[in-house]
Amino acid sequence: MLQRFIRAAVPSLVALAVALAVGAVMVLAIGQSPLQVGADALQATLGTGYGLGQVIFKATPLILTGLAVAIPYAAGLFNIGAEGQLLVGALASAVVAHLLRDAGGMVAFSGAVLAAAITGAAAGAVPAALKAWRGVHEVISTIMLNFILAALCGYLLHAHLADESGSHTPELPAEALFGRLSAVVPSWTGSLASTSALLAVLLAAVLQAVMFRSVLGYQLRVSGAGPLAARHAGIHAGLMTVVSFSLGGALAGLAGAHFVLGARRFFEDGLSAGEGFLGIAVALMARGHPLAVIPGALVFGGLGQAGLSLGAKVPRETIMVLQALVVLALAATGTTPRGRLERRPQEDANA
Amino acid sequence: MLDVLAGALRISTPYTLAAMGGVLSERAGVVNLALEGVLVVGALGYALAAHATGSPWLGLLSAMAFGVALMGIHAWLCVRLNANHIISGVGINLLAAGVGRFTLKLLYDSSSNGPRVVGFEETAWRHVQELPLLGAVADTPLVLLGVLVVPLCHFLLLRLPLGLRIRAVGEHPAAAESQGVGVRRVRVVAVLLGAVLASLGGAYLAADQHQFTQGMSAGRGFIAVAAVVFGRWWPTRAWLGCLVFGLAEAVQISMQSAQTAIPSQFVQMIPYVLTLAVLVVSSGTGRMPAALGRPFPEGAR
Repeated sequence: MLQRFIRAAVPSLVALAVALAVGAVMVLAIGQSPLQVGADALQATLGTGYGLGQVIFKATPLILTGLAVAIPYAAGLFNIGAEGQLLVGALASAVVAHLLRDAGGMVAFSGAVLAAAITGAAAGAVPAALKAWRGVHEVISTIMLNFILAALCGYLLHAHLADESGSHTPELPAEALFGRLSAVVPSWTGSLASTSALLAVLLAAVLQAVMFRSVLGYQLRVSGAGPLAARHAGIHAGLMTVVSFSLGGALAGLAGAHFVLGARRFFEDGLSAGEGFLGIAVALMARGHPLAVIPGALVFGGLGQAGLSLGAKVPRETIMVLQALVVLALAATGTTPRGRLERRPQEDANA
Repeated sequence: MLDVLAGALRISTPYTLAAMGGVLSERAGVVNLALEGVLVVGALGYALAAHATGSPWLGLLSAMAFGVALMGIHAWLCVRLNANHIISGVGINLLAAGVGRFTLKLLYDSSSNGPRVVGFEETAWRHVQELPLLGAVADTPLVLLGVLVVPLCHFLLLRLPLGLRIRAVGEHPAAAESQGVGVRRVRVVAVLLGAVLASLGGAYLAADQHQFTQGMSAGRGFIAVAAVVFGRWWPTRAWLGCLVFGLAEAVQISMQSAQTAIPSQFVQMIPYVLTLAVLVVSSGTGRMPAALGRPFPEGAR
């Protein structure tokens, strides 16, 4: 078991090592010492309670968007649309929490979380339906939808939903928000880590069970590993597409709720800083295992937090390059675990 | 009206150049989502060289070098290492966006845009711009190239030995190999040729807007891939798709400046909604190259 686990993790670790090595060269190129920058990065993330809390805060949406990409990926599909799904989920949670603000904190909070998941799922179902119905490739349709949904959210915000500030939705009352984890762990005080992190970890665990211990999960995995075998086994390809993408969209929508109900207290433009795209790197590193999304999210969350605190020395944009290198290195080493479900060339005629 | 049409032809240039790159690459069997990233580094390469030397012509050379270098990674991963073409493409696009932003930050200490760079009206090309008719359309040599490259690609694919080889390795690589065609070499050549074209599309954007801006490709590379699907992997039909997208963008620009009652966000959506609509109508109507996205030799992945 442990041996299998280690073997499965090797490509992801190699990819990370390659990316960090190139990152070190970039740091050298701008005249800084990689060792010093690395030490500073560790100090800023794991060295203090505040840093640790911030890493958890940064990792939370990445767990959710990582899952949003990983679930369709297990079914052989690419969800590049987590960014757009996240936005509509965020807007829906801000609106619903505001509408239900007088019905009590618990009602407003649960309504908002549910609304984020449902709108995210709806946004995910659109490219899935287009794929199942007309064979529209999901990569291009989700990218187009990212642009469309961003413009739509911008329109709704500025034309209908903004408060008197004109730039964001009304601020939500504290009872309707995710609770701060620093209430339980005092040393994290000041950090934004909230109970949304617990929700994300719980969902990863539930999805791990769904993917590997349920009929639905089995059907999704077979669709991804061998479309032809899946068809012969009577698994409905279109249904699997819609189910996996709706699930993915719901998870990305929850990442949106994390930003609104966990940090900002309202919806505004530029809410996400590319978390939807970072989810791709996180999901590929997890190689089809929902629980394995968590370490990847922590790594990238840590890099993001380190990037913020090192901004004066090393441009934050370095992190974007690192994330791209992880994706490329994983593309080179293969991203599906070898085993019984290994892709066979004659099975992916529709790839 | 004539203005809008001339504008549409001009604006379609980056789409056309990227789409022709996409046709060449996908005809050889390599899925090419990396076009978006090549547009980005093409624009970056143009802006850097034009800023440093003051010459748009050197800008074009630099754009091609940047595009080929980036696409070289895609070609190496897909053709040599049998990586999944889509994952590689996604990674390439992330890399291009990251390199673009990193460079802006490093050289110009800006998170969004670089300094103003020269365009073609500051070179001998301005004499062409003063010509009647042609001048109104071909405000840069790239517009002319965008029009010429379509019949050239068509001719290459249908009439030249290299074109036949490109189609062969995209349809049935094993058969091509049995006839002595180096499958991997032809694929790399086709992909890199595509990178040269697409990077010039990126150079057009930077020359047209006189600077490199973060996110300036705005999905045009993906829209070009949609045009390839719409064009059923034929240069002429794909060009038709690009002209439609160019027209949509021209309409979008004129609506933005005309202060209509339609909210600006809906005007912004036009190219993307149109692309989705085109894909809904045209997906599955054409036969894609049989070996598209497949590793060679079979089962090597």
